[in-house]
Amino acid sequence: MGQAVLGFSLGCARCHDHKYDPVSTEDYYGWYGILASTRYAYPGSEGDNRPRDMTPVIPRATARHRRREFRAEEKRIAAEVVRLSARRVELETLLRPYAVVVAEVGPLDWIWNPYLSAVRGLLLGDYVANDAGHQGYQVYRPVGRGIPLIAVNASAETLRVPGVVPAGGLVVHPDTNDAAAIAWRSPLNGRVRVRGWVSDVHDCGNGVRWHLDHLGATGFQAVATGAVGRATVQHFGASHAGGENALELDVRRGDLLQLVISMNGDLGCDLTQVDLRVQRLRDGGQVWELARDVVSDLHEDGQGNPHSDRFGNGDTWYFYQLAPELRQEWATEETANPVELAAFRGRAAALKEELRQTVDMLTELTRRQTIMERRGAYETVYGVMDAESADARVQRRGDPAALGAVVPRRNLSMLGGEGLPADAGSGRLQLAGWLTRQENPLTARVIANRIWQRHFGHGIVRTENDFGLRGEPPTHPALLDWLAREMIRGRWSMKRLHRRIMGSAAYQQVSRANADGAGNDPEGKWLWRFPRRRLSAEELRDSILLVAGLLDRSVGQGHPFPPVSSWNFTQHGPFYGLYAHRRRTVYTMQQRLKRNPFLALFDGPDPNATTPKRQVSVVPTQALYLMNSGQVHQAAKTIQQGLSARGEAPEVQLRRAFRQVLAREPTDTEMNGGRQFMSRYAARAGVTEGTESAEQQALSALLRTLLVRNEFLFVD
Amino acid sequence: MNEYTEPTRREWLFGAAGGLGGLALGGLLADQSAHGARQSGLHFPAKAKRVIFLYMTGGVSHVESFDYKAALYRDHGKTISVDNWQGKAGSYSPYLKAPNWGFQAGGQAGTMVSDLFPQVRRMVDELAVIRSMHTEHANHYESTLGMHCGSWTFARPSMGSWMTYGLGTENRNLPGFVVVAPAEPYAGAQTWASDFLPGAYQGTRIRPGRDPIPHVQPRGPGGQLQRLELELLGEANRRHLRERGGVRQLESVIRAFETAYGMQQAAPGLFDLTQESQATLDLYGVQPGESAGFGWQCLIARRLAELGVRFVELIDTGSSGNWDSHANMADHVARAANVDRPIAALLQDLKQRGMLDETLVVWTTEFGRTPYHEQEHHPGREHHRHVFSSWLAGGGVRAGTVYGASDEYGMTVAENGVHVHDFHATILALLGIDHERLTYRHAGRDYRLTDVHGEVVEDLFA
Repeated sequence: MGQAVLGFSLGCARCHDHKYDPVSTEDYYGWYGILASTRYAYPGSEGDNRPRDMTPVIPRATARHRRREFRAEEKRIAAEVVRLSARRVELETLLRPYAVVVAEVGPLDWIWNPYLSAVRGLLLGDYVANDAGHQGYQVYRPVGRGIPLIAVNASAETLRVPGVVPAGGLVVHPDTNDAAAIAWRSPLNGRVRVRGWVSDVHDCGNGVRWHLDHLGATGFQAVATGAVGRATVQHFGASHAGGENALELDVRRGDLLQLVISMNGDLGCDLTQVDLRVQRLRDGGQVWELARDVVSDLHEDGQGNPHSDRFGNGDTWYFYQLAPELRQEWATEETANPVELAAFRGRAAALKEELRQTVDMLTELTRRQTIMERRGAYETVYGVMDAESADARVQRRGDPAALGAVVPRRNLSMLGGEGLPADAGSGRLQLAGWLTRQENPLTARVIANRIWQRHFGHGIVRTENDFGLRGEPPTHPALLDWLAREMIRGRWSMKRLHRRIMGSAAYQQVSRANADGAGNDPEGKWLWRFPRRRLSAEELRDSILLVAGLLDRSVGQGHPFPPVSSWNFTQHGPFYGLYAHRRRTVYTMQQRLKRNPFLALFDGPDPNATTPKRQVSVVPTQALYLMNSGQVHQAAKTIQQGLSARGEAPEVQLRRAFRQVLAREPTDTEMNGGRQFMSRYAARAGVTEGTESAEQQALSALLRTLLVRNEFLFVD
Repeated sequence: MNEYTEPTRREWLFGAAGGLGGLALGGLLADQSAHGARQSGLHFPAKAKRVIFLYMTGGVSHVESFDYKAALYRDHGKTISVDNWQGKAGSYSPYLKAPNWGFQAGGQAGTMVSDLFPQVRRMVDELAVIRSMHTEHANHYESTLGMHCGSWTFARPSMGSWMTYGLGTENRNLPGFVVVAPAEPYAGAQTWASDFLPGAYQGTRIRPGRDPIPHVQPRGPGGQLQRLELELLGEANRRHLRERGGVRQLESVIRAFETAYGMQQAAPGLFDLTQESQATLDLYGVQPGESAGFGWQCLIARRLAELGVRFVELIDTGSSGNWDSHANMADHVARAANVDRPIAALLQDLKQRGMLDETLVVWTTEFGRTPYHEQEHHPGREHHRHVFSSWLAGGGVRAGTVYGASDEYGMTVAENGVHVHDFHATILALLGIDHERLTYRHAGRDYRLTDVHGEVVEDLFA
């Protein structure tokens, strides 16, 4: 607030009286007390990894009430979910022996699988990234237990965990009581070919057994089984139709094909690498490959179990634990005999309908739970809020542990030094008044000076953060005062001040040098020409979006933060987010910890300190951005699509391109050069593959050269 | 010459690479010509062709690194009197503090180096240690700027910028001045800025990590088509420039695109450490696949040096979590462990490859730390500008020596003081440049890296 708003540093007075400007340590702590009641939101860290002190956007009393209501609603829904889930299992168990009949009655288009809810109840729910320090070793296991597990190696190197997991491999480890199971849920009706392999990758233990089962609307079928010894491998299925061991079967949508790995006896050391491939035999012959679908991104932002496939079907791969007894129960469950089936036919439709409704209700409730979890009881902001107000004590030499006398909250002496009224609260409101009242000319001058600086490269006071004793005097003091008064008259409207400045003769000068000016005032302090300047990072991005017609001018809506309930930040894995958006750059979320890479590249401000003046660097890494970034290519392509859609002659397109990007007509030289470029480019581009025509590619390329040329990058 | 267009005359001068042309171009490029530097050829015979500048951020304690002070162990806890301490007038009586670590003699030269740097100690016969450095300011910001730009108050061109301005580049596919830094030091990007020198001499920063040079992969069509596109862009920019009668900043952008195009070719090879032997990786302590850490930075520095980059700066940490151990000197342990082996490895590797003779390796920090503390039992040390230690190694340096000395407690210079300006003058001289003649006309006067100061310390030369 000192340097940014008042134009002198207050920070010095934290430890000692200011050496140059009239600010004492008491002054400092008089203001400090006003702001000391600020409570910061905390994103969570090791040991305490829930966020807290997020600021509600509704009044506190209402917030309390809403929180109570919200909790009650959460409880009600949770209870309902338990009741319905139990009923679902009941219904499925009841219907399972009559599956043949059930498949033929009631809601026929509705996909049901009598085993699915049981499987869902057994999913491995605990995700661990980089388990035991193995980079890229991502694991699903039961909450509170180490095994059974399924895990992937997402790194580029072989891991010994122990047991060898090659890069890109998927492994499971069964437990004595529970096998590890993986299922593929069919998104199709039709015939599929199944193959895979099971490989013991531990050089101890005694190997494992495996089962491949088909669980569908028509019941349970064991498809194949086998056992592998220590450090050996077994393949099942064959890659060719009719080949030896070919495994082909008919599946319906919603059926499960499960691969179960269980212990051979009860020895450990059973890390087992597996893969499972399912090939559709008609209609394009899609192939589902387990490892390929899940290894690179096992957790899928918290949605990884069940895991999607690469064709965009959600819920395709299931990872769960399965007690051998339960599998045995399913395998030996008796199907009803014809007499029983006939007798059941009358009830089947109604029960199936009830099951469908139960499942629908569960889906809806789960959806609501997810939304509630995401939104919370009310909207909160990751910001600051007020805690108890109190006067602060001096911290001797700035050491918070060495406390001195209490200083009543009050204004800086140089700004008046008055205290707070009795009923003031924290004093923030009074502070705002002190900063902006007529008697304090500093704030308006400092801000007007900064606005001037953004246009002319330097402020009228060239030490923009230091209006104090050590700062430079203004080059045009009367102008600065006039601008400050103008801004106050305009009710502190910055936009009005920008207009004033940009309408001035000083602003509208050319930027060319002349010998007279260069000789008498080489630094251009007296503004004998407009000082040419490169667009700031923000201006550059905004301008590209604007001319491409991609700028989103709508107001409101925040960044798509991940739901607070999924936050799991640590000291070493702190919050870091880059959210793509098409609003103006000023709305981009800033983090102190990490600088936004685009802003950093084009000399944006340091997020940790007030940055009075930015460097203007010219480095090849900026050129690389302008040549190769998705943003520039996307903008050019968008403009090209707009132009191509009009179906006009290349000359007209060229003219429009110049008008749209550079706001002027092309010269004859540019027209000739552009035409030549387009035909030469198109002649060579034609060879490459792609959905765009060679002419369209050429136009995009030409547009890129318009978007990144110096004429676009500089104001002069 | 120019990779994808016929060069204009101005560009041809701009691009004239290598030592002799480089010195000449400095003057010709400027709007108002530089004096002095426009000599034909180098000012002196060059002893080194390039610099690797190792910068330790935050202030390394001299009395716990390269300046052994027996009296400090002996007189621990005694008070001394200090005038005008930390910029505050008056007289103070702080307590002497024994170093946390012991020292041992290293190499044949027997130079004393602290136990914080056992690996560097192993290589001490390559070093010329300077124990009499001093600087102008006790704040990080000012002294970081001073060590880089020879100015403690205003931003000025960085040493690397001066050097590439004076010597040109040996590889047009890479910037002549590269900074490899995981974070920004105090004073941020100003420390490698070219300020009023043309932007082509600005340091280009590479960030350790998976994507050290973002956007270096051509998007969409590369090759011939991209060249066509850049030709059109270059034509437009040159026309724009001509209409304005030549403007340095605009020329710099043109040049930046050319270098960027070259970087697309050079970058993949630069970071491909699979070309390194396991022994080399082990030497630096770099794991396969690793792309960060000071070991990686040192290895990349060697590769950049091989590719002809004139000035490589490595910065170990940023403006936090660095050597600024006010609270507890024990924090120096982690900092030293981070750099000790890689630095020794770099020296050894350069030597094995026969590159050390032509590469000047510089190790420094912004200032030292107080040999005393205001409080009797405080575990930290404060900033100390009156004396500190740095070292030089490699091209043209009198190896295995110590130059200058501090007083018995390491409080101030006792003999042969080396001011930062002297340090800069000496570095330039080793590269064949007279610091008084490498000038640039800006805002009505000639500027130098060393302002109006600086004495070359010839005793440091082999």
